Amino acid sequence: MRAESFSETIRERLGGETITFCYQCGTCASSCPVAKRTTDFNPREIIKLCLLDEKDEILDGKSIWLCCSCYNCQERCPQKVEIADVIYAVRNIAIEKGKVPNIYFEFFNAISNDGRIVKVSQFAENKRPQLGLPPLQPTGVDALKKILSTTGFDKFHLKKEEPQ
Amino acid sequence: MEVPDEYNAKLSMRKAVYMNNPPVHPPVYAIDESVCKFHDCEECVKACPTQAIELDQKPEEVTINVGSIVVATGFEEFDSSTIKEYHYNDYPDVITNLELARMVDGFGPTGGVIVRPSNRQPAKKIVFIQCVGSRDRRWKPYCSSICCMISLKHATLIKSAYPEADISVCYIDIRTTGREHEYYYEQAREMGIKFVKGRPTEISRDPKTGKLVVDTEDALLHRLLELEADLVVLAPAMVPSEGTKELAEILGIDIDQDGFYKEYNAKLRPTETKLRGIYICGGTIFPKDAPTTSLQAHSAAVKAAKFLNKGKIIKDQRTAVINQDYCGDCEFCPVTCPYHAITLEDKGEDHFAAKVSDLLCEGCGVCVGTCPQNAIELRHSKPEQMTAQMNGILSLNESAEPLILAICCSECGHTAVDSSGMAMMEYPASVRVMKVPCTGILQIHQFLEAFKAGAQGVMVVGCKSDGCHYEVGSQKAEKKVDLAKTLLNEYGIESERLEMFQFVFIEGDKFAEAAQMMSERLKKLGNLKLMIGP
Ligand code: SF4
Ligand code: SF4
Repeated sequence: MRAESFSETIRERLGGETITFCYQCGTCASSCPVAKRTTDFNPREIIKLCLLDEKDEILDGKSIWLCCSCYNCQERCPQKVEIADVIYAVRNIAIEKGKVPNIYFEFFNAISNDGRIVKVSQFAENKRPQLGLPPLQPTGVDALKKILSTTGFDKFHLKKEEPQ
Repeated sequence: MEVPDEYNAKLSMRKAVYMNNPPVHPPVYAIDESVCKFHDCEECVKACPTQAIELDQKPEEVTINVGSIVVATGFEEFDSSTIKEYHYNDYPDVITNLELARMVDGFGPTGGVIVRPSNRQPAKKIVFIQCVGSRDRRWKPYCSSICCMISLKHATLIKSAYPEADISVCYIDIRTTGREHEYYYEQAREMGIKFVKGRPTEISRDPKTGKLVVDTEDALLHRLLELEADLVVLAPAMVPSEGTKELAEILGIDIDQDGFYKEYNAKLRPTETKLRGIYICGGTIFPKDAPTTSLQAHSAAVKAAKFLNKGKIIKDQRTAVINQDYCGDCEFCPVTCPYHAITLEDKGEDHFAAKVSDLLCEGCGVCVGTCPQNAIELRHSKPEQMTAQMNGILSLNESAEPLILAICCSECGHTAVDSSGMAMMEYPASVRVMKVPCTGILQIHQFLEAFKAGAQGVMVVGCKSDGCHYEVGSQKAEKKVDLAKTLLNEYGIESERLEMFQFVFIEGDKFAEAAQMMSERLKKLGNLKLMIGP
């Protein structure tokens, strides 16, 4: 049997289904706030590279991690390519191969230890009563841990121990 | 009284008495009632030297008897304000190609000067945006086919009159497929018109200066651009003109998935509809350029003339006949008939009976297959004729192979069988072909009769369900075969003995394969055991 190409793999994943609709019009690129800031990121190019099966360039590069998930591109794409969701599908492939930027492990630790992605600073906590806000409630970390282990998310944590 | 003139893209004013389109023939004035406020001033009546004005004229409905109809209702521009990010209707200096056409016209409201509608100052920087609504799965998925040429024409006309104008065209793909069309594109590049490969995401406007900025990517340069513009010209999709759907319903002709009128067969019977005597041409079928429109107009006119010239209509005798004594008020057949050939006749005392128009009936028999009272027959394909045919071809089997009845429609089904023969393909001789007008005529009990008559298996062979020559017949047959399978199971007969196949007429190989497959299948199942009689 013929081996499945990279673009076919993406197309079969949740979120990746619409990738082949792309006709490279560039609406996504001009819609993208990240692309406006840095030439390292261009959603149209990501789609094109995926369609050309440039697997290594995509999975080893950093561009897929730069999308801020604002969905501007997806809103305006005339071909209804679900660009941000395609990028998620590609990220999931990268995660399965252990190709994850370090910052994501920090997110993981934060969420499994504190139940929050961003740690709330003492400064912010002191500010709350001044603003008339109730004190922060503790997060349900234990319940969260159960969810993380049932969904297999904690295995992702283990990968960190392996040499990258 | 004066109001903005729609014909001139509201760039000039017109009176309540006006001529819609000055070069029109014959040059006749009209009175716009919604503008004429002083109905009793009657100045125009007094002024007209030939006393042509009657202010109390009312709109009339006239009935005209005709022998043939040509529908040429054209197309119109897609409403660009649907695409909010381009701010059409919102920013006055964002216009469409149709509006620009009035400015390009030397006799138009600006005398050929290209201006910004917001301040009437000449526009020096002009950006065209292609595919507004076209090739867009959210609105019109098709390519409107002429907008690239319209923009190229306008851009080159403007550039030749005003060489200092800075013109850019933002495109996804430039399509110049007609004769000499590529020449326009070449000429445009020579003249210095800039082409940017990129579909802009948005048009924004500086609130102080009113200057427009087109936000786009140049995908070839891999660069994001902000193009400044005095005037932005949108190339909107072309859509069926208003009322197309309603007219299609009145006439009983079909429209396609994009809302344009559908030709009976675009390749072999262009400009014809499924109804004889009604023809279509031009932009009602799909947006097209002037030469192709003219070609189609000739085609439709000649066909309409040919239809009328005979002085008579020749009809196949194969039409449906209703036995009104059996007809039982159910109203199934008028709804089912793909040609609207069946109407209900009032028989008094709340009783209605179906009636077939011999002229409209195309002889498919879909109504026969639908009637729960067996009140309809098709001339030359009566139930007893079909049963006799079935019994005849199943009466003899001298091979060891299982006897199979292949009921084929007269269109794709039977032609596929022919194709297999012409290509010298082989299938077991025990597969017996029976031709019916359309598989839609079949009734469930006929499948059961085939088994009674000695068939070990039954194949029903029709057109593709979206390509049925009688519109719905093959779909209906598919449903009946499904239902019959359930019944067979109830009777303890393997439902695999009955199968529906849908082919295109050239698929002789598929028919031969299917026949072979059925034969193998039935061999495995063994002989059919039927308990007939009490
Ligand atoms: S907007 Fe859609 S069609 Fe255009 S380049 Fe981006 S993904 Fe492709
Ligand atoms: S979702 Fe990602 S790619 Fe799309 S516009 Fe936002 S940041 Fe850019």
